[in-house]
Amino acid sequence: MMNEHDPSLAKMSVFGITHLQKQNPLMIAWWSAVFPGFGHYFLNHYIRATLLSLSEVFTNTFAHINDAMIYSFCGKFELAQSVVQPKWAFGYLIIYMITIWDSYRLATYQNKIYDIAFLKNIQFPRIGIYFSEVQFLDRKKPIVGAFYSFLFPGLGQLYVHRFGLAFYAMIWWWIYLYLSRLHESLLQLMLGNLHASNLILQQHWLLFMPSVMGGAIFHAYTTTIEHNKLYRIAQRQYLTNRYRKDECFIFHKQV
Amino acid sequence: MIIIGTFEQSIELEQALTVLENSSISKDQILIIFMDDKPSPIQIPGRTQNIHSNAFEIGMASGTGCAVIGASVGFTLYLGPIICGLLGALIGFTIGYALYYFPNEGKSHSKKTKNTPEIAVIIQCANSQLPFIEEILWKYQAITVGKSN
Repeated sequence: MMNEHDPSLAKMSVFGITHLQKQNPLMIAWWSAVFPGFGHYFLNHYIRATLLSLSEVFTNTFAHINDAMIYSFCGKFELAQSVVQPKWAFGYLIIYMITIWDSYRLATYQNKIYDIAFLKNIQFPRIGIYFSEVQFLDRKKPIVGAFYSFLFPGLGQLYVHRFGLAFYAMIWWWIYLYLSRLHESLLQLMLGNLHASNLILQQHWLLFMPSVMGGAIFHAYTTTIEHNKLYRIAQRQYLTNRYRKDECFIFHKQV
Repeated sequence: MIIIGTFEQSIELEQALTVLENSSISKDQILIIFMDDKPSPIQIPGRTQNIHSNAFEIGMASGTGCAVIGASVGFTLYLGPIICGLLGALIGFTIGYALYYFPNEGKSHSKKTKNTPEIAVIIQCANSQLPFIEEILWKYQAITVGKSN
C-alpha cells in the first residue's frame, strides 16, 4: 500500500518529536500567506519551512514588500508603487503563491497518511536518550505554550521540546527587536510619549513581527495539543501490550 | 481481593505500576482498562472537541492577520502602529473566536472536569498486600481508589 515500512504517527530525534497530525488545509494555506514557511512548520516540514522563511525575509527586504504593504493599507498607492523593486518583486510573488499552494497540497495528503497511520496503530517511541539530549513525550498545557511564545516567540517551541526551532525563532526575534526598535518604542509609550514612540519604529522590520508572534503562538498551542494526543495513544499502545490478557476473570465461577 | 484505582493518563501511573511490579505484585495480577469518552453522534469540527480550544485557534489566525493590517494603518494614525496593531489583534481575535464559537455552541457538550479518569487499574491481590497497594496508588496521584471487602 504505502511502502514496506508502514508509517507510525510519530518519530523521535535529537531535535524532538516529528509527527503526523490532522490539519485543516485552508488553515495551513492561510498561515503560508501570513508568513511563507509557517504552513510547512505546522506540517512538521522543519527544514523546508526554515529555508522558506529565510527566503521570505531576504526577498521581502530586497523587494520592499512590507513597505509597499504599509503604504497600500494607508491608501498611498503611488508611494507603494514607487517603493517596490521589480527586480525582486515578481520572483517574490511567484514563490509566495506557490508556497501557499504547496502547503495546502501537503496538508491534504498528510491528512490521508494520518488516517492510515492512526488505524494501523503502530507503536512509536515515547522516550529517546541521545548523546546530547533527552527527548520525551509528556502532557503539557496548550495555553502555557501559547503564553510563552507571546512573551518571546521561540519560548513556546522550547516548551514543546523543539529546541532547534526555538532558538531559530528567538534569534530572529532579537534581530526584529533590534532593527524595528520595538522595545525602545514600547518604553516611550509606557512613559507617555506617544509621538516619540511612533517616530522610533522602523516600519519594514516591525511588520514582520505580528505574523511571527502569531505563528509562534499558534505553533506552540497546536503542537502541545497534538503532543498530548500522541502521549495518550503511545501510552495506550504500551500498556495494552504489556498487560495483555488472553482470558480474564474477575469472578472465577461461570455465571 | 480486588483493588481498583482510576488515573489520568500520566507518567505517575506508570511509576505506580513499576513500583508495584518491583514489589510482590506480578504483571499477571494487573489489568488495565482504558476509559473512553462518551461517544457523541455530533462532533464539532476541529482539532479537539473543546469548543474554546478550537475557537482560540481560529481567533489566533484572524487576530494575526488583523494585527498586521492594524500596525500598517497605524503608521498614519494618531495612536501609532503599536496600539493600532494590538487593537487589530484584539478585534481580529474576537471576530475569529465568535465566528467559530456561535455556530458550534449548540453542538458542543464537552464538560470536561479537571481530573477525568482515563484509566482504570484493576489489581488482584492477597489480603495482606492491600494496604501497601492502596498507599502506592494514592501516592502516584490516583483519582479514586476502591477495594472489595
